[in-house]
Amino acid sequence: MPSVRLVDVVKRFGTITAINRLSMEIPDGEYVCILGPTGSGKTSLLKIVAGLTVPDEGEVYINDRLVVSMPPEERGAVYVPQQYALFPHMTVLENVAFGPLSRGTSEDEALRTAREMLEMMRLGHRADSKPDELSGGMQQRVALARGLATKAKLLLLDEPLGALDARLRVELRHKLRELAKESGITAIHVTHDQAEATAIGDQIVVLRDGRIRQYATPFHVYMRPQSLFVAHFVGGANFFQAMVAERHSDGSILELNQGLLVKVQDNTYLPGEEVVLVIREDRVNVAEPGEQIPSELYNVVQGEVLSSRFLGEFISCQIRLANGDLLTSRTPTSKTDRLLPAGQKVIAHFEPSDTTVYSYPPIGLTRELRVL
Amino acid sequence: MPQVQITGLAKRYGSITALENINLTIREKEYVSIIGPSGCGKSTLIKCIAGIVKPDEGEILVNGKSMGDVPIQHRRIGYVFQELTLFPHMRIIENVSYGPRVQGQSLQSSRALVSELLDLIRLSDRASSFPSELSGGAQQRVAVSRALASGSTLLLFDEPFGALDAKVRMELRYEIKRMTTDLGLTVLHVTHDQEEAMSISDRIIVMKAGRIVEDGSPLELYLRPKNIFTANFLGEANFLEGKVVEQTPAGSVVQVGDTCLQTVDQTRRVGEEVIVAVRPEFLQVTQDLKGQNCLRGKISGIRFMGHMTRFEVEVSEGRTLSVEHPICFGELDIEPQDEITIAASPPHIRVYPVPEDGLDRELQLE
Repeated sequence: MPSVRLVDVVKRFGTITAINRLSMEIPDGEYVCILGPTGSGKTSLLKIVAGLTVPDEGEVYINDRLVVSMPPEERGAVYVPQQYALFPHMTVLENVAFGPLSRGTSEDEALRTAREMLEMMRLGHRADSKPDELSGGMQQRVALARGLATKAKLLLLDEPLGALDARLRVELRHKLRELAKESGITAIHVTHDQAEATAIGDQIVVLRDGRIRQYATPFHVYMRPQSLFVAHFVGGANFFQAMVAERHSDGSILELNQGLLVKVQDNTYLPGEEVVLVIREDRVNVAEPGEQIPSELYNVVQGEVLSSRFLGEFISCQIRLANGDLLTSRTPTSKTDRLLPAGQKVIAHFEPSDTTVYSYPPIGLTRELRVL
Repeated sequence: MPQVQITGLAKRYGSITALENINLTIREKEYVSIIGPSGCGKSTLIKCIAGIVKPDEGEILVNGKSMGDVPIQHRRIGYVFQELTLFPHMRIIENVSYGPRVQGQSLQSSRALVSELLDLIRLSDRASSFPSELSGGAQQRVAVSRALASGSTLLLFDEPFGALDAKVRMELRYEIKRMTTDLGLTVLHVTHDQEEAMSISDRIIVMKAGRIVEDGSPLELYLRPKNIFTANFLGEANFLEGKVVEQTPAGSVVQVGDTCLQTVDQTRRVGEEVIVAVRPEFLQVTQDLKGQNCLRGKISGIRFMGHMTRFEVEVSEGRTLSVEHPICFGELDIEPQDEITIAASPPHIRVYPVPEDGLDRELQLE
């Protein structure tokens, strides 16, 4: 089973630095998702491991062997590109069997594996079709099945579920993880979809501008984001520019727009410091006037509903607070299935322990959170 | 007068039926999404309305006028699709004012409208850029405003955000919704993204194999889907086979394994074989072993999903239910192999007849 190690890898395209002195280590049998916005370097990173892109600087190891000058086919990895190229004159089954055949597997064995992989991709019934008779989502699954059928122990997947309908994507991501775990595969899976990365990965690498912003388990990335960008990109949150007004042993008081005071648990910043207050959307509680609010709560703010959106498992509510700031809440539909109408007066409340505080980013909040 | 009225629409490609007996009314200023698995006919339907595909049967009325013999360019319908389709050699302002200009309006008279639209999509400062200088999301906003500038009150969107990143897509959908609502436009929006459809639509139409399965408000379809296909397609669901053993005033009681589930169903008869469906987030972990609608099971999997923790609970040999517990409800002290009790309230348990061709076939996504 292969491990992968990158040391100080740099890749430039003209004046653009796609990968900016990046080091990371992926242990045997791990399923790692590379998550980041468009242009963050995800695909470049994958191609460098595959051997399709040669880095300008740095070292790449697979199983502790330096592979920088090793051709792709000798690396023991299979790369499934986003632009899947199926052989148009071959049937779906032949396309998938080509993977193992090209690695010297006997024909019987190759066909058997191919059938198995097609079943898993829910395409058993289309084995005899030609690729152009299939939808884009089906073709992508054929390409994925072809990659899996090689039984390579290192799988490099570039948006493997990107062309699929949302509902099918949810179903196949479970399958993909299951298969990787059963076969002891090491997988690197590139995606821009944070829900997908969270659901599949043992670890998530959050990438931005060719650098790793965080490399941790989904739980840690979500619960303890190391930067404002990660908090925004994974899970989403409310961000408020603020200034530290008071600092105490058990927390601080922040001053927001128009003098709104908010109590937070964090006390690492000094009075007068510019900071950003972060509150996850699902940590915001919304009450209607007259509703009982637990009195021990510190942060209670009046507001008015701008809009409510039904998201299925959650209902999100956009609220204009008394100080003019906007706040979004996210309430499980299993708690309430009522959509508050625009104009409704509400009371937003949240606990100091449900907030996090970051120092104000030197490039400004808007640029720090930018996803393009 | 409804903005769009469709009766008996059908379209076939050789032996393949793309659309069959489609009847549909879209009211003025309504935002309606059409969802369904790939190949269900949703794009064909919208292309028939746009005039790109000619139906074999049926009638399409737009503002009371039959579209039968009206060519595309005279339908006055704005159409935006997935592929980025701006004129690459034209500046943003020229792209947006293209519609009014080919309709013979002077540059002067369309200027006010165009600058208003560029303001609306927050791209006034990029008016003289070329499309290739903008991000995909920005280009798609331009495409929408070009459709708006054509002066049509009916907009057709065919996966307009399909090529964009998840995060960008989410921001853009609310922006487009706000724009079309502010301008009082009617929108028919084809998407494969259920969450997108639920979050912005007044009404959702679910299609499958060329037919409309059902339609309703997002909340209604999600909480009380009339059709088992909808229950599975619009969000996830657990399905269990059972039998109606009693009809109480509250609704049917369904026996599943050795558990009896009280439901609010009024449609099935005693003795009937049925399928019950429960969404993972409506199954809640409880300490009350004697409460209503309880199922005992063993934890076979735990997965952190961001806003939720997902548990797989084996309730009997080979039968596993997914349970989703929101993080904001607090952490549960549960480990693999633990025995737990889960329960669902009667309104969250939906009851369906057993599909003729079997459950798997009925739920097939393509």
